[in-house]
Amino acid sequence: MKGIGTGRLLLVLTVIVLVALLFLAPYITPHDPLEADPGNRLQPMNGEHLLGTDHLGRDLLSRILEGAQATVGISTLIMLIVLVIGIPIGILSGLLGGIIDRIFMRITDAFMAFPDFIVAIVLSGLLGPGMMNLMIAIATVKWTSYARLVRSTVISEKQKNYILVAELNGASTLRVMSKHIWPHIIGHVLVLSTLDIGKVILMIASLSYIGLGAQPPAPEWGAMLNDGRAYFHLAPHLMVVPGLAIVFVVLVSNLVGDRMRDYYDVRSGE
Amino acid sequence: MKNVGSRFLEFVLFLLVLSFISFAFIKLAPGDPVMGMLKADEVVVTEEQVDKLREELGFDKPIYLQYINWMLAFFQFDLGYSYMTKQPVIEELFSRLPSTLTLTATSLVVMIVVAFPLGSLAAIYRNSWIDHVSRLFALLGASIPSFWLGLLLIHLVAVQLDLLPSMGMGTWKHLLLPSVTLGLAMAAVYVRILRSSLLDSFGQDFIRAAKARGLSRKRVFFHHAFRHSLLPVLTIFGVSLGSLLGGTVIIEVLFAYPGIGKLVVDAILKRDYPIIQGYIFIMGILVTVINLGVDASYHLVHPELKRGKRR
Repeated sequence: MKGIGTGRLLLVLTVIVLVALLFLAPYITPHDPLEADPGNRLQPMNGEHLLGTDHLGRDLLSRILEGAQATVGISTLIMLIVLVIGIPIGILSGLLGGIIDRIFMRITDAFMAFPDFIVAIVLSGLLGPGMMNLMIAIATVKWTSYARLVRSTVISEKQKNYILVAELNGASTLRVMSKHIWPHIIGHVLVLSTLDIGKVILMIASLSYIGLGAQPPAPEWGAMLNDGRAYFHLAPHLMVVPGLAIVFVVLVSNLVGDRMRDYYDVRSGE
Repeated sequence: MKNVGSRFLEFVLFLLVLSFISFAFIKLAPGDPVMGMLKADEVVVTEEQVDKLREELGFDKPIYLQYINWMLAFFQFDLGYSYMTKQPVIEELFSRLPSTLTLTATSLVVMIVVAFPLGSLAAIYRNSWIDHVSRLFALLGASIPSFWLGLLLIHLVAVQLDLLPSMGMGTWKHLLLPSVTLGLAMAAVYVRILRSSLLDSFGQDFIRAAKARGLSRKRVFFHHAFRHSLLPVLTIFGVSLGSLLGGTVIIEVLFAYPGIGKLVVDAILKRDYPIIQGYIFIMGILVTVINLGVDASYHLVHPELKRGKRR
């Protein structure tokens, strides 16, 4: 066992603070994130508005906090949807094999031949712009890699001798699954999803930036950058603050993902 | 390698499914395309006009006939007319495609210029400062949204310093900022892959053998290690070429660069379905061609794959 290093402690604390902010956002916003105040347009950072105001006089700090729920909250929700769809399909495919397996794998093949981004753009194009449709589009793109990961984990584990021993001892399929195979699945899925969530956040922000996701006046980080674009030369904080928010959250999730991958690799190498 | 025939058959099947889905979506989409086309002119629409156009477009026929007609037209490269411009979809797409391909190519050049030297140096001088720089570069590259990097570059280079134009196209200057934005984002991935792939090669016997034969370090690196390390790079190259085509969409919108990505986003925002359909097919064909090309290029790098051993 390694002791908890400073780096790891810092990372854990950061994640806790971020998650707390995410849940507390509606209660701690100093101003109404949607309330325009034309007299206070494009204010720089000051005591009243800690991060300044935007081109309609809305408090930027409040919008960033509220926007976290759109950008980070929705991304997390998408990951959950993806897991709820991907894991059962992967398990079914891996356990049953045969024709069902082949059908599922053909479908995932078709999806994986195409770049995530293009499929997401096309889907949200066919469904129409909007956050709900963007969620559907990204979930549709992402579930395939989880289904495949779970399937291959199930297949590689169920061929191992300890499973055979368990079965010989009369363990039911359900028990073999829950007691022996499930822990492997959850480890792999956890690593992949923490590595993936940053990508989903980037996707949400990017597609909202080009107008396919969150619609104004909703404070989503990418949409905020699009909103404020004409005023960047007058008020650079409108560009810097939402951008740094995205970079920071994605950076933290990537670091956590890397750590998790190392951790689980060590375990599988035992 | 799967033979080209079965690949092609799969592709045709895939297109059929794709065409059916996109046809169904458009039929189910809210709003009447006939009204959409007429309303774009901003004049009062009469019942007569609506009926006439509906008949012209064949929308009065049963739905399966509409689908068959639509498919027949598709195989003659007739994808209908854009609601926005009233021009044939295929012409709109093909007039924009070269700009997008140019941007893709110049971004690749930027990627190679940045990633290959940095990745090589990081591997040769492992754990030195340049290795740490490459690690930081990769981490930031995976965390910074490309459109924000583009915004920063526009603000610094185009607005503050006034060195380059921030939008449009025409001269090489217009290409510089978008290509750098896209190329840097991609380079972040390749730096690390090339580094670990090179480190892997350095440990191989054939490298030790080459050194033992007294070849110069330069020759060992370029003729043996580097070449060997390109296979994993090529493997993900196909994937990232596709995602590069996706990435151009954001960058084209950001820099108001008139490529196919900007066109499709405009079409999505204005509900111009024929253009969206056209985009789906062009991208479907492009990505398939890329995947085939990457498959073929494995054989150039690794001739031993020819003997039927795949990967």
